Amino acid sequence: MITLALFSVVGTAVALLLRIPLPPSIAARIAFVFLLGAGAHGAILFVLAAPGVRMNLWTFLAVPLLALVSFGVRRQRLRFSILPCHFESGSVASALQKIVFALPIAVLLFAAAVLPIRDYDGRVTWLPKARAIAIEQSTTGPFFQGERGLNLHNRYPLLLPLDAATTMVLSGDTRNEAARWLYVLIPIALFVVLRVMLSSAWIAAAMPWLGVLTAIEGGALAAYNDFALAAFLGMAVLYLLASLDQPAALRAVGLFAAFAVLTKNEGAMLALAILAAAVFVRRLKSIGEWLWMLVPVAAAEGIVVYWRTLVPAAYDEQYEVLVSSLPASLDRVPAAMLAILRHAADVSEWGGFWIAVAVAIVAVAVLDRSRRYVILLVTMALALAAYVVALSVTSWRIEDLAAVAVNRLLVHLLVPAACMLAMALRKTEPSAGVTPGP
Amino acid sequence: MRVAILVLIVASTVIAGAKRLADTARLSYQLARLPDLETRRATLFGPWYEGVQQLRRETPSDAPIDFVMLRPEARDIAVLAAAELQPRDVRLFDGWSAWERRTRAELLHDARAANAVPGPPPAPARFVVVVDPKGVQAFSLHTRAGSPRPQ
Repeated sequence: MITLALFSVVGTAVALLLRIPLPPSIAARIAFVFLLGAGAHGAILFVLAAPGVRMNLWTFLAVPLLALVSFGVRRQRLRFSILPCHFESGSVASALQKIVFALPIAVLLFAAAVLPIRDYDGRVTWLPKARAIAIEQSTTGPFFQGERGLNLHNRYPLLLPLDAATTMVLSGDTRNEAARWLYVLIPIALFVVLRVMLSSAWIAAAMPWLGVLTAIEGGALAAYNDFALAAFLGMAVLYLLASLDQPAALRAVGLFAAFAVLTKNEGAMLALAILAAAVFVRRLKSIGEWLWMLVPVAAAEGIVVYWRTLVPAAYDEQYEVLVSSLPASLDRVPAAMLAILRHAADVSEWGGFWIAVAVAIVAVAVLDRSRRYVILLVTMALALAAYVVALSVTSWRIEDLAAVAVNRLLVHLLVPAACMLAMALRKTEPSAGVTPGP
Repeated sequence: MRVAILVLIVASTVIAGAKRLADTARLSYQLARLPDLETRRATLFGPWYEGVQQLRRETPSDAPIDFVMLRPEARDIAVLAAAELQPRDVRLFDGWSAWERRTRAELLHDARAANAVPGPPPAPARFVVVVDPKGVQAFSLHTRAGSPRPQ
């Protein structure tokens, strides 16, 4: 409850203050402001912590309290704006679709209430960072200086650990499971928003099954940050598509891209993909739109770079070395592409999802090369190209790295892939009369 | 045609996910009968976790602890235990000679990543834990004075 209330309050305030339009249903609005709040709260704390503000109870409470104050001060002048709904509902098929959607989510909620966090990355990499912040009240303290405890990947971005530290401090419990609901509610919120913003309710209904299905340890029950990255990239993509009809939606795009930067190293590349899609495909039409897109992403990159100057590297990638070794690694590119294709096409891991997405990309290219299509294609193509490069330049055996990494990378692209699939299905339905959605 | 495609996509996803969903539901149902989270953790993680719980009880919360890993297989549980024992300052060493030289273990080696463990070699800790997943106990606790290192 702390998790849901805290981040939803922050997200509601951000949506009101920045006049970000909300999705067209009550459940999706709650889910959206939760995601917005989780991102905004962690991002604000990241900015405050780097120059040395103590991360104590009062700092953790300050952001939601300021959010509550903002409701009172500006109550009269602020109204939510709402995005249009893209698909109809109410039939028997709709009832069945709701069951398909709700079943895995119900199991996820039950399992989250009972099971300990068991994924290796969550327990060894991410949650110790959160616990260190909660105990040392700093993102540059002894733990992050390598003077205390074991900190693997010392320079990984800290948005989620800061959110998790908040729940630990507010609940008075620094065990892993104090942050459990943060990690579980993020993918669930993503699926709920997707359900009303995707133009195919059935594709949306299948998405939670991918959340439990993904062959990464724990799926949506895990405390690694890949579903958070998928959620932030997903919101950026959905709102970029929505901004074609409702320009105010663009305000959320830069923010969510910035949250991706602050969540995982891969987020920087995903944010660049979103920026490229916004600049070259959607086309930014005013200085205001450029600022909404560029300022949050540049600020996020800036704060990460600055914070990294304050802490030493430990088991961190050296990107300048990796990129400079690309020419010598070109012979590994085909093997890297094959590894991604092999995992995506593995029916036991993903069902027919990625195979259908590949067919959809070709089908929509033939039927309708609209800007919606190109936005999705650019986002996925740039992200996949970056992942192919990443697999190629490491000194790992590609098969070994692919076995632990590729499914996570595919998770990041769930939303643009689902949008592509939904778009292809709509193109095969000539009588689809409602507004074309993502 | 459209319905057939849709059924194929959704059904393949649901069928592929059903086993994992059923496994998760079954495991959750079984563990829900256990009285608390610690019992569930011990049941799920195995005997090494009980060893970690014992270490937690027997060492102060701010104690530095040296983990001496006797074999490569010890790394997995040593890393997990180090995280579980936080905020204790756990340092990992590959064998007794590394422990005597105060050279921390290098857990990953990637020529293109920064592998150096930050900070100077740590001072000897008051507590020394021998980590051996094949031993009678996965973790055996000693004080520095009484550490069982071979001469």
